[in-house]
Amino acid sequence: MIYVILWGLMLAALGGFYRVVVGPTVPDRIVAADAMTVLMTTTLATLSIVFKNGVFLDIALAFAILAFADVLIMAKYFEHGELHK
Amino acid sequence: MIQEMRFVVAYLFMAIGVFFSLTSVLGIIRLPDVYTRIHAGTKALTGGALFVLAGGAILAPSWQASAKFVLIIVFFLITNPLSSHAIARACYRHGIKPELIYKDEYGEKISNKKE
Repeated sequence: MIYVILWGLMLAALGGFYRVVVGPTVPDRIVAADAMTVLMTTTLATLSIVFKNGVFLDIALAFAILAFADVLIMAKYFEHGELHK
Repeated sequence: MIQEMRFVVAYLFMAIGVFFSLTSVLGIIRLPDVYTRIHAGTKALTGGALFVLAGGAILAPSWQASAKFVLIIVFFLITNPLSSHAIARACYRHGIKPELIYKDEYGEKISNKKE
């Protein structure tokens, strides 16, 4: 049953990857990549149940923080054209 | 009995979350505009991730793992609207106008402030 959940999450991430590849403008790609990071964090947290290992939860938390900073930096760079402004 | 009920509730939550995630990604693929894609990719995806993580928190073997799941849920609740707001603001300031719009109050406000 939990493998069905994992396959559903990976299918959703594959749809986000389609939008990253095809997406006509840059913010489309940023939005789809953000959605993919959210799905990857959820998948990591679900894998901690599959393997009965708590390390995956710590990695998921760190990955969520990194993805948040990543999206903020990308949005700022896209808005101003440079970072120190 | 209690154990079986726990599994049923957890898998029900996870199934609801996967349904929300798939619907949100369908919206990201199908919707016509950047802003509508942000709308689809933020609300429904946050809800889907919250449901899956809540099911994981019920299913987790120890209370420490459940606490970590709740920590990830709180983090998503705080940061996901924030990042989508930053993306939408950057899009508008960059000059991408929304399609299918009748009145652009934010643009009028910005142009008044510049004058």
